[in-house]
Amino acid sequence: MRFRQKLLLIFALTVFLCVAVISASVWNSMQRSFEHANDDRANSVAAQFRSEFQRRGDEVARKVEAAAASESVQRIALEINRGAVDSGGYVSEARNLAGQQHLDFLELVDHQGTILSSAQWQAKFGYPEPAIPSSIASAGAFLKREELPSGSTLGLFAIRAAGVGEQPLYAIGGERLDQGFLSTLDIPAGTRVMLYQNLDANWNPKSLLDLNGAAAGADKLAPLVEQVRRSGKEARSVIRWTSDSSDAESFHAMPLAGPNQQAMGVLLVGSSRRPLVELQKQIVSAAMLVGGTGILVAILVSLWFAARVTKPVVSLADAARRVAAGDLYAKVNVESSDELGELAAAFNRMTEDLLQQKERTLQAERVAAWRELARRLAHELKNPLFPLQVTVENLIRAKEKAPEMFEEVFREGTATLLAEVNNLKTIIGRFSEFSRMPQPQRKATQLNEIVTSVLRVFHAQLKEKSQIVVRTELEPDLPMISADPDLLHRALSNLILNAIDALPQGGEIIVQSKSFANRVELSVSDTGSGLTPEECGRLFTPYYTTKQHGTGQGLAIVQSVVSDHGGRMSVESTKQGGTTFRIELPR
Amino acid sequence: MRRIAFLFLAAASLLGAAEGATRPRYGGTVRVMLQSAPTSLELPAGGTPADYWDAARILSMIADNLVEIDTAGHAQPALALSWQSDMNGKRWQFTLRRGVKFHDGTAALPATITQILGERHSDWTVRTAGDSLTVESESPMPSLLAELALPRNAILKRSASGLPVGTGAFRVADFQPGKLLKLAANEESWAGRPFADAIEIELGKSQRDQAIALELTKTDLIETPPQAITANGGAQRVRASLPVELMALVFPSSSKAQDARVREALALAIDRKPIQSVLLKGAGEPAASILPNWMTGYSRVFPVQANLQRARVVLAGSRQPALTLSYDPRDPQAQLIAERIALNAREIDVTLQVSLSGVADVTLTRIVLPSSDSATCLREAALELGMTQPLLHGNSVEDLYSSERALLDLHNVIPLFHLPIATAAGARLRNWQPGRTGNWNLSDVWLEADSR
Amino acid sequence: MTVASQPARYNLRIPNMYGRWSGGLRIGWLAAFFLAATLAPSLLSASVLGDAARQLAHKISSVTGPGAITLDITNRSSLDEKAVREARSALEAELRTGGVRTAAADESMGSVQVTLSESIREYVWSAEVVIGSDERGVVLVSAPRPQTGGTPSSSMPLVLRKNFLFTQEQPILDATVIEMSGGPRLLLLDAGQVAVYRQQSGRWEQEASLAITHVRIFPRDLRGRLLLRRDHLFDVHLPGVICRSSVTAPLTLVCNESDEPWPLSADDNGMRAFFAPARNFFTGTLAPGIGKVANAPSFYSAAALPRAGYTLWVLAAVDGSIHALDGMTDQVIRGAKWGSQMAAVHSSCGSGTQLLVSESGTPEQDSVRAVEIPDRDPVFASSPLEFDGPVVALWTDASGTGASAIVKRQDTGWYEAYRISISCGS
Repeated sequence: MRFRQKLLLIFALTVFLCVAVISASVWNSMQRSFEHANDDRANSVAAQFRSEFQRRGDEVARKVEAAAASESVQRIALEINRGAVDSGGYVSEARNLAGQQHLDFLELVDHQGTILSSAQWQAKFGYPEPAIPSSIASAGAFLKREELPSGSTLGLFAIRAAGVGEQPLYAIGGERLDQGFLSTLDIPAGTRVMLYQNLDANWNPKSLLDLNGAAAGADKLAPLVEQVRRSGKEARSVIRWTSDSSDAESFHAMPLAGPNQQAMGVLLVGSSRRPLVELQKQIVSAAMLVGGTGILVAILVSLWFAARVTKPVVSLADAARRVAAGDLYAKVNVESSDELGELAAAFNRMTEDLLQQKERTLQAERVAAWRELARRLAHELKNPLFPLQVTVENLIRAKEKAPEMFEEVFREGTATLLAEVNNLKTIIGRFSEFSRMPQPQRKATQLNEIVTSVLRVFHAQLKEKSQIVVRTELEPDLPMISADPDLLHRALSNLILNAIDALPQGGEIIVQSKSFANRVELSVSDTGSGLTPEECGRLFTPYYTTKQHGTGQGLAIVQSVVSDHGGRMSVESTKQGGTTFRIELPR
Repeated sequence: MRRIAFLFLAAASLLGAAEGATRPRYGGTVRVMLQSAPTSLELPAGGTPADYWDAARILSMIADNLVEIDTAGHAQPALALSWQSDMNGKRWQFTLRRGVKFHDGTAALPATITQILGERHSDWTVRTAGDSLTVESESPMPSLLAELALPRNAILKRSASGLPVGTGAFRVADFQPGKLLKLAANEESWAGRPFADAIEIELGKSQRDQAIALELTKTDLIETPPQAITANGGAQRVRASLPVELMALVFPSSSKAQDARVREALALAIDRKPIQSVLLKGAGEPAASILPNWMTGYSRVFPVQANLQRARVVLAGSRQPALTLSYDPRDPQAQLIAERIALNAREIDVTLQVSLSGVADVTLTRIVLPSSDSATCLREAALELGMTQPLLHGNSVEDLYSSERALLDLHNVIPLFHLPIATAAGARLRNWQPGRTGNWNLSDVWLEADSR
Repeated sequence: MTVASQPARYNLRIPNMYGRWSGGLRIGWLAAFFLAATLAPSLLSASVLGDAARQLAHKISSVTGPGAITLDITNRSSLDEKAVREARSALEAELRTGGVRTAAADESMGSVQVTLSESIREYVWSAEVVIGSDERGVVLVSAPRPQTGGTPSSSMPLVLRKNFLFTQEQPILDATVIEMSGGPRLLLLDAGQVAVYRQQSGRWEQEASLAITHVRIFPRDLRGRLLLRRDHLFDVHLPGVICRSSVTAPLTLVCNESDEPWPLSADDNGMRAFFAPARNFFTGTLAPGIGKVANAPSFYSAAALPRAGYTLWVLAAVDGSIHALDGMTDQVIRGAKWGSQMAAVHSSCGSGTQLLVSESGTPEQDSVRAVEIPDRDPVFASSPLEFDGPVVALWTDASGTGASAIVKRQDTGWYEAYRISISCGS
């Protein structure tokens, strides 16, 4: 990973972490606030419920008191005290009174606890009303389970005695504690109230009422209600109605105690978690937006910053690469005065030194090459020139000293002259041939086949020199390469020829072929006397040769061919350890 | 309540003191209101007891039967002056009253009556022999007289417009189905012309409307709940019959209470007395028998007291499905009584859900006991209650008891109350003496002169 | 073939129906009941209850077999305590005869719960026999129940006195007692006959029945008057029909269709008035008329109060008003809210002639009261004489010193005939 990328990553991570930490902090804070607000709302509704409960209780008590004080109840009480009980006349009294007082329930009960008249269940006359402590008769309202023909229900009741005679007549009246009661509560938006009428020993979903009657999906609230029913204490829970978390509600459940402190009902205040979830979504969205923007900005900033910070380094690295590639003119333009500036200056100085050194080397090599070329040319040209000079001098002398002989000498002299002139042409032709090396004509070529072909050419020659043994180590499945087989044939021939030349005393020639991931390799080794490192360094210089009769063009041609195929050529040699020429060609 | 009754009596006596015992006065129109609103002047099929009584009363004014059955169950002459039967009761001979005419002026000849009865009873062979008429059957007919006295055997023809034409004290003058029936005095009634010139019967009037109309003297005669006897504080004269209706719980064959133990236990759990004293306001009698005591004298052998302990013993080990109890919504007391019964049933853990919807497992029903002849009454009641016909091996009270016991031992019907029916008459109506078995005799009533 | 418990007028006995369950014993009961109902109800119990007890004991013992039982008797009938005690004694005695004795619960093999009940026509005694814990049986016996309507009332120590004469189910139109050779006779007029009863051993026993034949349909509220005559025994006036008895024995009655006016007084030559043949009232046409008044309003009854120089006729008009006619004027007596029955009776008290008028105490009861009209305003001259039902006929009797009153008992519907007389009282 590049330094700039690392830098960018560090920046992005830093920004992301910052945004995440802030978001989480806001999230938690918001959730706490929301829960707190929920609690406040639930407490508010509960307080309102208690207040309404108290108010309605007082109202019920007043109504029951009015009923107990009514003329008809007083009359009945009087008749009971006189012993003239004819409950047939009373059966409708409670219903009439309940209608007058707008009470849902009203029963007239004698001192023995027997119902004389019941508004809510007219048929219940004569049945006992569960004994109510007489102390309640003057107390406020209380919760009571009331049996009705259609089942049980919960009511807010009050008891008052009709104060006539020794045998009191009780009026037990009340109002339903059901959805009608709930509808009288002023419930904040996003909040709803449910009432569980604790009428059965076990959970009964039908007893859970909301404003519309039996609440839907009541079973999900069963554990919460059960908890309150068992403990008699408040409890809270979040109810997930669907997989959508915004449909969830926070419920605050409070017990409604009856006269004996048993939970007669459970009030449930539910607050929708939709605002919270929406807020959470907004926060997430905002965090994503802020985080994303931050990260983008961070990338840009880090890009700018990294670019600014890494620019000298990159320039330095680039220059280094150029230098490595041979461009010793590479310069680093760093204007800063920090460590990077000093590094860049040192680099520039280094490249300048290298350049100067290289130019000096090149000049020396050029001089050496020119000297070698001159020497070679002088050597090549000197050999034919000497016979030419001798012949011409013989002709002159013959002309002058022996004209009779001149003709003969002339013929022989011209033949020699022509031969040497041809020799000069040949020399010149070789030099010009090197300069006219053709461009490779590529085609799919099997390198092993070229090896085999070349060795076949040298078979007879090698056979004569029985001291030389040729061994091949060819990779059987060598892949085909794109190459000019004729040029490669010529190059390999030169290498074999060189190896033969390197084994005047005989030895072994080893030809190997190998394939690699992206190249194939061909090596030709001999077990000759080897070369010095200096010889190795100059080996590929044109017209350089260690042989007495060679022109020094063989290896230069080989290198030229390899180079034209995009390959590379190297030599390994140790003195007395033989020499190995290795050609690497791309696949 | 007693105080109210006393006040009522006191008021009535003061009023009576202002009246004199005068002879029947001819003339005027007796105004009557009835609950039912018949669209035809026939005995209703499947109507309420009130529908039955109204139709029977109307027909009794228009038509006569061969005989009448008095309260004691004895036959009294009507169109037939005398009768006799052979020893096995398969052949009966009736001597008919002479000179009787139908409202259309045609003579009520034995042949005509023979035809009328013959058409109604395909299992009878009815023949005419001079002034007499014979009824024969392949099986003994010990209760033939009671059968002939039933409203369904009134001797009447139908006019071209379908109106009844009988021999009774009144003839149909105008009939507006469901609204109004006007009857005019039959000047040639064999029992003497009725005192009133006409009877105007307004149909389809609720009991409340009737009571108001009577209070405002807009009518002379209304139907009233028997409870009004004790509750009435006005100037009307309320007369109740003997108990001539039966309120009972009936288990249809489709009932989920297939286990007879459940039915028996329910019968034992019902506390009838509070219902009678409170919901029926003292009217009627708690009953565990089909026939009322006034008819048989033995109904107290069937205990009416609740016996929860025994009910629980009976119920032990039985399957107790939740049952639906339905009632006749036209009966004002029925709902409360049904709810009370459901309450009683709860005491033995039998669930009775009072409901008018769905298929009823138990039905609170009220039927008419149409004859004071006990055997006929038992047969008719069994038919009405969907029971098998009773097997009567003789006419003794023990035979009757055995038959009724056999019916009730199936526990398909739980008798609850024998109920009277009542009427209230305005002060203008004189000589108002409704029959003790629920029949009316408007031909003997007369109207006090307005000029007094 | 006549049903024994019913007056022998219309319906025949139904042999197969009643014969089977009655039996000879029951016929005996019925006979006993008839006598008891009409004459001596207090004598009812002995034979009837004894027989019933015997039958019930027999049935109980056939269920229990010999042994000890507990016996509990509940009375749900109209029997009084004395009768119940008698029934218990008789039952226990009969049970002992059958080998069943009563004992305490711990010594008994079972219990017998006897309920004395009744239907509208008969006593029904039931016995629920429980042997052990499971074996239950019910046995029943029945016995005819007396019709209580015939109980005569005794005269009351009032200024107006009433003497009970007779009772029967069929409407009585008029009744009068005459002294004849062989003792007093009661002539009883109803719709179908004049029955002659002779008093023997304190009871009226029928001596003769003189049928009234007629073609015309009688009105529903039938009225009739039986008037003793000098030249023959009596005349009967019915709407559209007049019947005359024979002069000598054997007594016969000849009836004819006639629209002749009815005498308004016992006097053969007194005022007469035309009776509407299809109705129940006098038309108001008088013969020969009251002074100048020949047409009065339609009326139900009339009474003549002698005045110095004239007779004041008081009419109970059909419209309920009371008219006083003195031959010159026809005045309505205001405030007189009497019934439609009135009769004039001579007495040695007061002005010598009082008007007996009917009035109502309660809707179920009528009373008769003496009224004097010294001037034009009536004055009550006696306390009300109470009856157990409406007074349906009130006629001055032949002597003019009393009146026959026919009352329809409210409880039974039977008709009772009384003679009302006036004594000057204390």
